Amino acid sequence: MIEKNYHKLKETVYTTTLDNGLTVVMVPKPDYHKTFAVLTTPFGALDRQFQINDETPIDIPSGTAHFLEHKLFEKAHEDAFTRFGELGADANAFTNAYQTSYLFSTAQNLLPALTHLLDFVQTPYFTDQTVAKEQGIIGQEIQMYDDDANWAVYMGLLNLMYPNSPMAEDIAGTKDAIAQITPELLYQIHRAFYQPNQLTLQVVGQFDPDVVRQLIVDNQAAKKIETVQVKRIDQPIPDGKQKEKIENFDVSRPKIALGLRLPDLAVAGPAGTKLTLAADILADILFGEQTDWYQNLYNKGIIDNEFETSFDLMRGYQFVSFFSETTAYDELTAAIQSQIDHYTTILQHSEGMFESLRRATLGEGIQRLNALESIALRGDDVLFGTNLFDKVMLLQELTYSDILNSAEKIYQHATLQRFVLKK
Amino acid sequence: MKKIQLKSGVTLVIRPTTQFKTLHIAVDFAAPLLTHNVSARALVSYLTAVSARNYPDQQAVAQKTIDLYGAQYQTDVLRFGQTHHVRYSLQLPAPTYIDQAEHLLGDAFAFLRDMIFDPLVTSQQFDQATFDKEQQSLINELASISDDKRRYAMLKLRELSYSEPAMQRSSSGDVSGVEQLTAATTYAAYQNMMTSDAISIVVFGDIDEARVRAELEKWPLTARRATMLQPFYRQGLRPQTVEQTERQADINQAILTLSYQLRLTPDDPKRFTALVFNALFGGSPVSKLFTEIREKESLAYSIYSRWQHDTGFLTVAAGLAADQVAETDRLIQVQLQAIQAGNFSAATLAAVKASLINDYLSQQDSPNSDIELVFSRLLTNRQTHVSEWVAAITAVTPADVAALADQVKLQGRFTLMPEAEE
Repeated sequence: MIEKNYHKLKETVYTTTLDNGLTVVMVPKPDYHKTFAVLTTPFGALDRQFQINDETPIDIPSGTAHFLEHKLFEKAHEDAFTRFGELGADANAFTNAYQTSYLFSTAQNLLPALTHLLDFVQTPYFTDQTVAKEQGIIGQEIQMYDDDANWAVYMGLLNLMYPNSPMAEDIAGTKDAIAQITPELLYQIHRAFYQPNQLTLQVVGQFDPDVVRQLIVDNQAAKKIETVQVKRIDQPIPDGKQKEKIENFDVSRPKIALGLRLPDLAVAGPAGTKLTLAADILADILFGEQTDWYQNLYNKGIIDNEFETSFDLMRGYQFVSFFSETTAYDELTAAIQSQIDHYTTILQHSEGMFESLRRATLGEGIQRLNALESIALRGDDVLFGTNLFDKVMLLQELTYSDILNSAEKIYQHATLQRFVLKK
Repeated sequence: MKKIQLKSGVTLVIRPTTQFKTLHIAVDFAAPLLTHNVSARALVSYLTAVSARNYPDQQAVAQKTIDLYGAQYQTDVLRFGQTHHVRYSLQLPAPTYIDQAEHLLGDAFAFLRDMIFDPLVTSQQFDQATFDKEQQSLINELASISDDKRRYAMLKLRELSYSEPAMQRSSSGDVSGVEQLTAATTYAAYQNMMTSDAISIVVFGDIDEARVRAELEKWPLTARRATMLQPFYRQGLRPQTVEQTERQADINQAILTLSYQLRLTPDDPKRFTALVFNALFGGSPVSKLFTEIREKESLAYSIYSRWQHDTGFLTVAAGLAADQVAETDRLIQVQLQAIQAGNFSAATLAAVKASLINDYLSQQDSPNSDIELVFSRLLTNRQTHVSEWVAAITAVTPADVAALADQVKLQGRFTLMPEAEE
């Protein structure tokens, strides 16, 4: 077991890899009352083709990762969800672009709940009948999102920046795509991406690390799971040249999304986390609430508290996005473009602002450590192998030249694309 | 929980703990819920979120929270039964985790004092330019409720279900109420709040009483008449269910909402049974509504119930396909009848209790939940120890649940439907 101490944060992380390849990460929090556990595979909505050993490559219809997540709960004689309920554990699962996670939190019955988590995720049960039933339920879930204006504007922007790519598709897929899913496909995916060497189990909270570790070791030793070579195959990402799209929707004010698609920055590991942290602070320097720029637009009623910026970086996709609700979207677009055009001038006299924003971001990072869920889920564990504590420590090291470097990568040749949702 | 009476009508509670990496200061202003003051109080919460004499605009406020190491300053309005609350909260990183943080604590208390007690005012009214902007923001926010179809349906259900006009509105008021306000009338509402509301202050984190008292000495906290607030709301049973269906274009799914009364006085010990009943009916993943209607019948993608002891109402909301509304509605009543007949397993009841207890114990790991609990204890003048609470839930029997379910009466039904296809 590897022990890593974060003295400044008064936190300790124990990491171990079992004989079968399962990674176990434990963060004991003796003052807490509950424990949060998450079992994660780095398999998500972006994965659309893979190969096991030297077998024929297999295509994955859009929405399959999410579909499999739903289906894994249903077993021959019980629903895995119900069992968590009986144990007084609050269970859930989610799928995003690059991971699928199964989780629970409980203040009682930790050990049986942990066993149950491992068992239900590692014991697939897919039949023609259960797959057919799920196709109906997920069809409704997709429809539910169709009525959500915020979702529509977000997907609209992704479709402009990354048309005909997995990124532009709903994580839940489409009715037609999920209709192609078969039990055989789900079994193959499970065999590849749910084998122990693909999985990480995080346990955070009130527990004895030795007891928990032993339970996991015994649980895994009793299972015989074949190890296979797995290769994910990513298709090249098509261009997205269209500058603007307007769609009609029943909203009281127009919803606007602006995006900057960046070329592949090819960063990995802690450098990825560092770039993300720098990009966030950079966005605050240029567009934050404390800037004259923001106050000016706010006073004119062009933006309000709904204005948001975001930087995303994942496996070949990297983009900056801006969201707002306003009728004056041409002015807003011009104002954002102007900040981008003048970024070098602005950064010539923003070092003091950087220092106070860095401290504030550090303070926010420390506040986030209160929640066990954040410790387990808000690090860059899957994307860059850095946990939330590493992120906070990387913030301590961030310098102004990191900001200048990231500004060059992000804003030097920037072209804005715009998606508008209005009546 | 130790209550410190700072002045008449001004109460302080300190929750010292090193469990967390944050420090919290929360201040609650409570008054009876009245139709004419809700919109004004909501606008006060908007104005004092973005301006004060020392921080005249949002930019200055944002810069200050940055300087306080990323502190989160927030104002909210909420309702508990028939009381209305304007709440200020400031969360900052615990000074122990910050280098060179000697000034942080004092600065934090001073900042909150400025924001609450020293607003941006000229000649007895809020600064006109700030007022105009924030009035528009609040109007936009209230208008956008109808963009969120679930919130909209719940608001319509509220209008149908409550007899008292003040109870029918959102806790942020309504568009016409906000439109009628002026910078002067809103300031009058603010002054009324400052001089008459019951004030509760909670300080949570690694801090001692002497330090908190020393900081609060610098706040202009004045004595006020300590009128006992009557937080719990109850209304008489309606002989008939009030129903309404609305059709909207541009939506795909229907939303079905229902309200019930539980006929439970505020101090009735059966309030623990009510919690168990709600969790069994639709308030948890092992509930009848979730397992029977969503999982077994695949009728609704989302369905849940919520029990509000502060108002005596239980509500159900379901998101579903338009052609399944009638069948789902029928099955919801069937599930209620099943509970009335005692038709649920011991295992399910045990699971429901385990889940309630789990949620309750887990609150101890969230500063905001704990602060919320302290405010509600102060308001209701009632507190239950963790072990008593767990014991009371554990003691609920199947017969208790069935008997309570028998008293549940349907009062309102609001359905939002997509426009019929041509």
